[in-house]
Amino acid sequence: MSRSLPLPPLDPEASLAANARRVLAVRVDELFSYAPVIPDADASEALHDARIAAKRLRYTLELFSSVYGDEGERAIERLKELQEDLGQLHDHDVRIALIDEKLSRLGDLPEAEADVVRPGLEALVERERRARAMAHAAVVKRWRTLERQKVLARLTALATEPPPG
Amino acid sequence: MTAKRSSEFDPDQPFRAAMRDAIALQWAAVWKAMPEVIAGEDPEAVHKMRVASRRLRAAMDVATDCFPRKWYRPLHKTAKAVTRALGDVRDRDVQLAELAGERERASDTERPGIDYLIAGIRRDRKKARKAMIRFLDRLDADGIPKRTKRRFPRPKGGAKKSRRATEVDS
Repeated sequence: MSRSLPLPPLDPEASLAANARRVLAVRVDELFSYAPVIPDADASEALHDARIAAKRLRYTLELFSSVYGDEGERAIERLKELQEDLGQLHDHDVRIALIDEKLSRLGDLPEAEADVVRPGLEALVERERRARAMAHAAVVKRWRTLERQKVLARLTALATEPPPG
Repeated sequence: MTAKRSSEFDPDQPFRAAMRDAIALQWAAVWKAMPEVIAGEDPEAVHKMRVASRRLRAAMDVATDCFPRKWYRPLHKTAKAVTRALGDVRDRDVQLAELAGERERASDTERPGIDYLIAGIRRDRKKARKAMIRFLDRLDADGIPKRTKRRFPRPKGGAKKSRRATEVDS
């Protein structure tokens, strides 16, 4: 299960804006720390963790939307898309694991019954593997789009304290 | 009166006050969604409550420095437990929806295998739903809704339109 990066101590008496920026900095770092694993189709667990990190960042932007303004709203829309793509990938991983588990346990069934269900399970898992490959390609493409749109730089700017005065 | 929404929080207000209001909104959203989850089999009701609980956790995760640990920590743990309890049902709803589509597209030879898979997930979902209902009933019995309303009273709202979907009611 993905663990979030620890937050710095937050000051209950300081402004919402000041604390919101500190939280955002951590959530941004957390998501973009997954940049190296995004291209790795076999890194199922890490990609799942990236999905959770994307959700946490998105929820942070929504929670403190009055602080982050229009730039925050734009980032939310981009993160929704990334989250959707990572979610599809995760759903395929879950189904593949489930089907593989059922196939491995067909020996527990009477042979006649196993022979009836096996073709469907085998065909389905092959389709799922192909669909998974496409889903991963979609994730990589989405990530590259985020990079092109300089989302990391924009979010890092949002997380930076405004100059005094 | 319109409930306050997170997009209306004054960025200059003290963090503790803002988080008290934000957490109040999210607990209210969780409790509002709960009756439909208990009453019916609608997957959307489970999804809605789970999303509300995730938003609640997002708020409670960042507010741990704002409130006394003695009562905050148990409520924070409860928020996490709500997401987990709903997740076991939700995850299966997602798989069943996808497999229904697969079944329609499958050949006659393949369909028994998909039916076998669906039957297994339905059995697991039934168990997960029973566990979820037991958990939600226990929340009520333990007075958790009242406790959250006491610790996080609903903020008074304004008439400003919101851009963000953390609304509780209108």
